[in-house]
Amino acid sequence: MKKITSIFLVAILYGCGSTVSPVDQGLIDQVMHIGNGSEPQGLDPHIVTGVPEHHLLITMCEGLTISNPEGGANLPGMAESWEISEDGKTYIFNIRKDAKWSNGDDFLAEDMVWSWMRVLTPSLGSQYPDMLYYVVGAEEFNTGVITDFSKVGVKAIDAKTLEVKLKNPTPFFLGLLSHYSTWPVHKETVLEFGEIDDRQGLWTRPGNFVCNGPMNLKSWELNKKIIVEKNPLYWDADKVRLNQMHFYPVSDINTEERMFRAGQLHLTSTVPSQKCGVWREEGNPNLRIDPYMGTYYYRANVNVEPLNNVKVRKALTYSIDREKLTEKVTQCGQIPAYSFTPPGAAGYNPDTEIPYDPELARQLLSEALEEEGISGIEDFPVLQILYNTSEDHRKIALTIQQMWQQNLGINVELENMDWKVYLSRQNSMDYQISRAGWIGDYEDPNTFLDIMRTGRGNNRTGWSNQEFDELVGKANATADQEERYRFLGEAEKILIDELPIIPVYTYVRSYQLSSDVKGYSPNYLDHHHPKTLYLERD
Amino acid sequence: MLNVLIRRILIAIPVLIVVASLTFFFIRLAPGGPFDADKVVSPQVMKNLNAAYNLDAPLHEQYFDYMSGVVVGDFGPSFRYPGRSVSEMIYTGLPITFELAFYALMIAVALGIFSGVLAALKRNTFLDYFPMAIAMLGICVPTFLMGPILVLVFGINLEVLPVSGWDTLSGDKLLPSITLGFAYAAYIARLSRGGMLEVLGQDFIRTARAKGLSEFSIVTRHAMQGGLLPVVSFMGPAIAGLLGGSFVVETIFQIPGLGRFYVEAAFNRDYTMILGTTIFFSAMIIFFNLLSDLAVLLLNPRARENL
Repeated sequence: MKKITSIFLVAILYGCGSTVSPVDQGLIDQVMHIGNGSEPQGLDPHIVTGVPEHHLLITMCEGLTISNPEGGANLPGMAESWEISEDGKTYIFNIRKDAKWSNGDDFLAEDMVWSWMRVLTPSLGSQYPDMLYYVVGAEEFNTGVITDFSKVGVKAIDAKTLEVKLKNPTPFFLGLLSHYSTWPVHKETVLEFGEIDDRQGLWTRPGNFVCNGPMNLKSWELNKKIIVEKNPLYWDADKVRLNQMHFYPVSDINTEERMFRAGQLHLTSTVPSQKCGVWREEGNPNLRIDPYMGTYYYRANVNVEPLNNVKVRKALTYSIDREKLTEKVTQCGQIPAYSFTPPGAAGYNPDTEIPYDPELARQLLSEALEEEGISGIEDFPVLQILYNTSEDHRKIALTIQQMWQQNLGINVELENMDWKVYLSRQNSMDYQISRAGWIGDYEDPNTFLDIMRTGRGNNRTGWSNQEFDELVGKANATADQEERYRFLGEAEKILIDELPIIPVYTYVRSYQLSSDVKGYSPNYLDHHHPKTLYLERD
Repeated sequence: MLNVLIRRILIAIPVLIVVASLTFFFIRLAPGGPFDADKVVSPQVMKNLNAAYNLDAPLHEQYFDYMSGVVVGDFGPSFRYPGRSVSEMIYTGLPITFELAFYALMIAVALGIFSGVLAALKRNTFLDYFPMAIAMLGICVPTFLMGPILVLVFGINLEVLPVSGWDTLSGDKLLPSITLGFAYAAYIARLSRGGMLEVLGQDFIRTARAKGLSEFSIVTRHAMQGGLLPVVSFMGPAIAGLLGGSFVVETIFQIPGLGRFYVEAAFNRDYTMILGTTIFFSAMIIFFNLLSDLAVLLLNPRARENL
């Protein structure tokens, strides 16, 4: 036994050899260590979807514009300037003269045209082609109505000038350009490893990868670590102070938290929700809670009884005490939601109200019972809340179940399903009430309200309202921002009056950040451009 | 002996075919597909995606396509990770999972046999009760509890070992190996204690003692050969379990092994990845069970007589 003990001791002492933590070492080398949630699906901006992929791609590739790290209007990216025609439908982008790919090739307007052709090529199977559907002919090309790409409204006027023609004045179009699905890829590299529509091409591997962002891919060890390093050919390389960024796909939140505590990470992707409340009370200096462009809500299937009656939906909505729920249950600074679009983002403040009024809720419910010919509350059908497996969703569902049972006297059951089963039941409208979350793709209320239009794939409530559709349509057809927000505000009012969705809270992004990291500013989209970041100890 | 080997290998082939076929059809029965996401794509995009992966072909065609690929070692592309083939992912994760399993097994065998034999020799004394109590604890405490406790003590409080990683920081392989090995050490300790007690009471041990052999050579040369047979039989399933069951430890310690792919593939409905890893792990289980059976045959004359 002694022998084994001594072997272990020797082994442990051997482990003590290096005592400088990655965070301390990073300060010297300007190397930032980041917890990135899960292993990225890939690094092809036209194929992947998801947040971890975005965190990586924003370091390596750049679109015509970049999102403003301080929030607000987009900043110039590959395009140093642009002109918008009076009707708001034609954009002329002036590409930077010094813009280059990471292999030294000149970045040309033609590269953008080819890249957009690739995203829109149906056989590539991109999951985000609709980001470009605002461009003339883009949707038609992607759905196979036309096959001649020259009919699509994007063309290179000369080597460094790009013209884009839109169907409607789309005031948020510049915002769309900071989404990775609209970013360029290097034509020669992509074609060297496959066809234009090849999903299996190996061009995204280290050594092959060519893009145009502030960093370039150095190494990629599957499920272990991705390292990106400074790209000296980036047009704004002088501003980039980090030498490397290391991304770790830590899928276990508790592991990530321990890594942070042990000085292995500068930044975590999230925080364990059960710790958040305690940390806020204790004043954990590393905890950061930022506003985020997302809404946590419940969908109501308006095709099934009794949820087809708007009074029932109102009764359910008005009997949720959102303040209590965010304060006592979610506990991480979430903001009670009284609209679908998060207020404040892009200067849009919806003027809607959702009261917490159990009295009114009971009255609405009894009116609904009468309308539906149900004799009493005891005959009211049992409601089922569908949610996907997660301790956080379960806690919220339990709370809402209790509030409905207490305030309305109805019976509510919970249905917990595996993620894919939950998705498939939601898609086939096989549910009564279902948990949902929506995160904006760009900073504009349209990214929320548009999904509730009739027949939109992400509507998934069966709800349809002609007036709402028209208002959102009108808003997209006008270039006057004030008028647009008025239309959208009216649409939002209809939505909150009809309640096919029951807003619960506005998301916040909570994470831990080392005090060494400077230049990391909160913004609604959680886009953090590497050129603003650096490491310095106070 | 050779007969046994040939017979077992011949049985393994249809077993693997049945496993592959059942898995192929069962995963299609599960609701939800590989491209279902929170953000629904248009029917046109879904059609494009299904076409890109041949999922629009009739099921039996897909089945024959897949199986004919497997025969030549092609497990197809991963649906979740475009640009990665299932074979590549198995090839990347496997050496790490093997390495982790190897260290864990070494710890399990060394610790388990030592304390098991000691407990048998010092029956009903402190040296029996103490290791056996620890063994019971090892069996009862799951790895998802053991891992974080070890991390808290050695990684965060004492700051002597990294809390996660594999081959990144020095000493980062120690805690995962101990965590995974400890549970198996506990089983091995109990099995070797039981086996040794049975053998130590037998006549040939008494004869050896009567001949004046030292206690050390009685134990190591005579008793252990028979007494550890249960441990040898346990080795096959144990190795298979270590390989397939490393998921929890890989997740806690952020280890890029195969176990994580195996479990995540099921959640992602990554059909080819589920199939590839299932077929691969089935082959591993069959192989290691065969090895441990052969080892038992070599060690145990009585088992050979029954052939």
